[in-house]
Amino acid sequence: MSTRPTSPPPILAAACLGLSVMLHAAVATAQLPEEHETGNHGLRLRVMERTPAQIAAFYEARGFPEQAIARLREACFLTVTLDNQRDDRLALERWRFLANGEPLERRDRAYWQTQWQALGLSRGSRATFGWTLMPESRELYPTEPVAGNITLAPTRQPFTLVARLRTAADDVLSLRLRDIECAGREG
Amino acid sequence: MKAAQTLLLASVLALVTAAQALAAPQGVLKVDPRPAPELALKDLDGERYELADQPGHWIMVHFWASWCPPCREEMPTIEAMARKLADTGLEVRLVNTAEDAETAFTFLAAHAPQLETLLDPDGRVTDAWQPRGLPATFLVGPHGRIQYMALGGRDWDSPAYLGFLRSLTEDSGR
Repeated sequence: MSTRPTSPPPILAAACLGLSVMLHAAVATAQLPEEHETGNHGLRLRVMERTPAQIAAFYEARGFPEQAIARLREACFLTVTLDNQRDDRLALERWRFLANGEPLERRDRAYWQTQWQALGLSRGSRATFGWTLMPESRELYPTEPVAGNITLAPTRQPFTLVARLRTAADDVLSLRLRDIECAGREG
Repeated sequence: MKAAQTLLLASVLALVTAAQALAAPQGVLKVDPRPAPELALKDLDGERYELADQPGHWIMVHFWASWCPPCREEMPTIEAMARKLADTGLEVRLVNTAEDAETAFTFLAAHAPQLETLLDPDGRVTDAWQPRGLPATFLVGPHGRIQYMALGGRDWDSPAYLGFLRSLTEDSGR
């Protein structure tokens, strides 16, 4: 069900919290990133690969210092949007990233907090960064979207994203997107 | 007897109409009322504002940031809604999350020039309100308690949302 690339979906009034528009705009001259999309169980999952240049441009524009930008460039960034189009509540339990069946190393919030503390990043910048990250788990209300960046340790291997959710009736729903890559890390 | 029946019917109809008007539109959730967290910030002109000083009417508290695409979509609808509901007593209070004054000013000039915003430069006030993401909207009732929250960006200038907000203010005025 994964497609690459896809055209962006229509922007809705009740749009997701995604960062796609501004990240596209951040590096207007750069090659557009790969996008992946799937839908199942009344859910829509979309992933956009982000290049280091895009990420650097976005956070530079928000006043992040050079040292912080350098750390950000080292990570693999994906912008992920999950839209609950169902009429029931769902619990988003976890995201998993697998390459050849093995889990990939994540760069989670705790990792970034450690980085920012070491660099003495301002509280405002830390707050902005935190709001641009995808929640790890979340109870999704009917029609509620959730979106943000997920960061990984850089890899040259294609990998698979698995999102796992649970319904109120305790059914498990799973969405998969294959052949995702860390953009801009060829060679 | 007939007059009494007519009066009773009219009363029931009025109650049903009021209840319908108060139904929250899609994406607006009724929450267990809880006291609004502290909100004391300065606006773009350096004027200090405190939510606690504003009892007695409904307040829409809206958290936003310039980098958030849905904020860009939603902000003009908030401006239009505020203009249309200016006679209701609904107070619209924007809070920019963790950006500087120049960024907030530039964004509003482009997307909603009639609106003003408070600045939360280090994001502490936003954190205290615990939004589910940005944008985030809370509706604070006349007694200073959060009673509704909106999920993501909404078209506040559409009839369902305008009618709902108007009904809230009319209800509190009764």
